[in-house]
Amino acid sequence: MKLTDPREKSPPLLHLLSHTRPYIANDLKLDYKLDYKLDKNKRDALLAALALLPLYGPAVYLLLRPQLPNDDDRVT
Amino acid sequence: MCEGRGLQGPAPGPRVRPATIATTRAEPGGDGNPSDMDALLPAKWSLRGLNLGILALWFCFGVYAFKFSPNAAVVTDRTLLQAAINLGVDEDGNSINRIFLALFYVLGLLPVIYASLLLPSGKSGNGVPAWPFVSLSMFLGAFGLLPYFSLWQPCARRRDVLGSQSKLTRFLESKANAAVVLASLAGLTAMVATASSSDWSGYLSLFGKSRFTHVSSLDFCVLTLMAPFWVYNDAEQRQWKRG
Repeated sequence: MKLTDPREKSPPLLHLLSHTRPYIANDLKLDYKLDYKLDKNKRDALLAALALLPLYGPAVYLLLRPQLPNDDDRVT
Repeated sequence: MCEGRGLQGPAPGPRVRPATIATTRAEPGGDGNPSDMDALLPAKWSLRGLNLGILALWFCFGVYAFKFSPNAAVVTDRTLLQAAINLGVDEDGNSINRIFLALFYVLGLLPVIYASLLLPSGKSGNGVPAWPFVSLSMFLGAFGLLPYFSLWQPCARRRDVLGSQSKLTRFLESKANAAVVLASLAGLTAMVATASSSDWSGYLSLFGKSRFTHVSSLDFCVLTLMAPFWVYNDAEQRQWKRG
């Protein structure tokens, strides 16, 4: 069973439902765990991007920077 | 010393024609405007303060790393080091933590980035050579580079930077080197991005117990934070975006 309102997946509601409607609560618990895991994966991906993103600046700069002038280039 | 031909007369090499020397003498600032460089460079006292601050950072980092950092997993440290050198597989054939492995490899990549930024154009105004520190950083990371940063001084005037003829510097200047660095970085990012939650929790656990992981992580942060300054310095020396 899937409910669209995210507020209905909060733990206090689960606690309440586990006493009144245990079959709904079990389904919601599964949804809640899945959502939590998805959020955690997103968080991990974000952490990875943030951890390594600053290094891309210097690396991209090395690729784009102009060459230093050689001796021959200075001859007028 | 800085290779400012306008400051020190003609270069010892035979390839620069007299006309060129005369031109550079007439333009001591490289672009003919010495006050421009004065505006870009920090005042002498603030530079001294910055140097002392970096020296203090180096000292404090060293004291913290060897005295106060967590050291509850000496055997794990040894295993991690051996496994990281052995492409992430320990003696028993088990894979070590992916996040740590990526960190270890990034710490091998950072000295290459710093070498590309420092050796061609990051020479110090007081004649301190960069290569011994860059070489040390291959093994010691920030511990090897921070002393150079604390000793580094900008040249009094903007240099007319010449491309070095050494093979190493030519390679570091090349786009092939930059492409290899970027590709390696992309590979490591993919490695970290595809790591599972257990890898992250394992890494955080290692960070709290293993001195090797803890200090390596801090080393990575210090080196990453210092990089933008040297990018800026390199771009200034190349007069990038100045036509």
